[in-house]
Amino acid sequence: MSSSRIITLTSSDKVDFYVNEAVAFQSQTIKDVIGDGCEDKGTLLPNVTSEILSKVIEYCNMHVEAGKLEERSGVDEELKAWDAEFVKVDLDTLFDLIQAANYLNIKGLLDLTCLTVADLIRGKTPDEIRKTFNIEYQFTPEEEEELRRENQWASE
Amino acid sequence: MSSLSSKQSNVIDRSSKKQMQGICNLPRDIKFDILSRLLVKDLCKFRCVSKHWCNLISNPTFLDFYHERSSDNPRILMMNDSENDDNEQQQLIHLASMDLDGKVGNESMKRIYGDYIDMLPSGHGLICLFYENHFYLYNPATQEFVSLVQGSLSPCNDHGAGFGYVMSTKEYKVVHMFTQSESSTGFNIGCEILTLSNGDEASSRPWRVIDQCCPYLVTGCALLVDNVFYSTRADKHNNSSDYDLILALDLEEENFRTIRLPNPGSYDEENYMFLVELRGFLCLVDNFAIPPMMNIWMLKDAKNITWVKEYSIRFDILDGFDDVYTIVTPLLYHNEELVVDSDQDSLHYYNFEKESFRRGKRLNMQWDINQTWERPLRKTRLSLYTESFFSLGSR
Repeated sequence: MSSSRIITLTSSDKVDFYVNEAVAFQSQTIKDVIGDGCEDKGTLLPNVTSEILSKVIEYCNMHVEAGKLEERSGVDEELKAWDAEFVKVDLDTLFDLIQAANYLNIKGLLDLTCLTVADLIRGKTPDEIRKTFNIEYQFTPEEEEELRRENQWASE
Repeated sequence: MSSLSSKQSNVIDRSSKKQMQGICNLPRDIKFDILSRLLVKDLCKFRCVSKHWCNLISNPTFLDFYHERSSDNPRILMMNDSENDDNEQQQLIHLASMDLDGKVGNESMKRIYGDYIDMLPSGHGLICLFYENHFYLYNPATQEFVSLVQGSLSPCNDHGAGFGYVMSTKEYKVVHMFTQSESSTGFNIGCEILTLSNGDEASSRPWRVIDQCCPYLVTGCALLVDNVFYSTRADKHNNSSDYDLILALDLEEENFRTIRLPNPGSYDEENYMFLVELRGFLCLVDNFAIPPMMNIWMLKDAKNITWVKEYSIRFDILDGFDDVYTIVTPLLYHNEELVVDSDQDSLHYYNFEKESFRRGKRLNMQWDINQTWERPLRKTRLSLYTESFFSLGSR
């Protein structure tokens, strides 16, 4: 007798989210903590804000729904396109999503977000990377010269 | 008033916190994950982004993680060479690395000694090229290209070679076989081995001739599986009951032995059979069974010589397949599909559940680089490799 339970998830800023068990269990962490059968008394997620949690739930919802669809040509492509749109967010949100996916152990979301960051890095010059990610330049002129010499071939 | 100012300070804190957050504050494992999705050439460039990135990319734990991951993501090395100049014996070759979808990474052009250059993959990061007793090693990821010390000469100009990677010792091994003499009773074939570890100066690594001579003439290139080099024998005895047609050179014992073919008599001896490595096992590919079919036998137990007919794949469903001329070469087992090279402009992937092939993305086979080709191009060849930081010691 499996009626889908409703799980309560509470964000760090004390906002409650009510989600289907199937959706919540996309997170291995939540699945491990809550277990099956027993009554759910609500789970506090102190590391995830409501802004991010709502996005995470949106992702999990879509992927649960997609899993139910019958296999027909185009489903995979549609889901990929949806994922691509989903990660069109500012960098800070992207990193928050990575942290959340890691903490909640949602493999698909972690893969997607890490891939997105890798795509952002690929093909950029070191200077462009520093600008994009706000990274401080820390080398002395001598250190930079040596590094450049060692990796000369990489820039050719 | 106080709540407003505290609100203001919250706002300020949060924004400067976000400035510091971002990629550098991610857990180390995640940083590894992200960076391991990039090519070696990019990563080496990014060492100078910051001290932190430099340490991260040079971290041995990261490098181990990277190599583990890259071995699950094979890439293609494509080689083009031209008919060479009879006078010069110099060969111009073009090497291009790309992913399985044909997206190009690096390109190199090299001029080396030789006529028809053989390409030997290792199933790992390096590729070996050789002509007679001239050997070259190439790392497609770093584009480091090195000539090895020349191998021994063969008076009859008959040479064979093999190349492979030993996972347990992280060494590459090159084997060179050179026919010293032949007589009515048989062949006298010398055998030497070159071993290479990461960071060795490859150009000065010596060949070591092994005591035992190779007892049989071999054809094709030798394949390294589990510290043993395997080749197929070229001299099939007239005695039709001799099916010990695979030669095994054990690198540990440094001796030769022969291995019986699987299920002798169950196929036509005139068939062209060749060896490949799949899923870590030596496999014998029988390409010309009737009906048009590829049978792949797997040597599941090398000590007790236990062969299993692992795959039987019909060819007539492969588009572009011409049953007389097409040689289909299985390259590797990847993501539960068998990747094959059927000499077309794309790879094909065989799905065992659906029992069908799907065509991969079209690869760019024509490399007309600013008309630097002086003579007609030979047929394009490709091998698989994995991205690696392995250093050949020349930089």
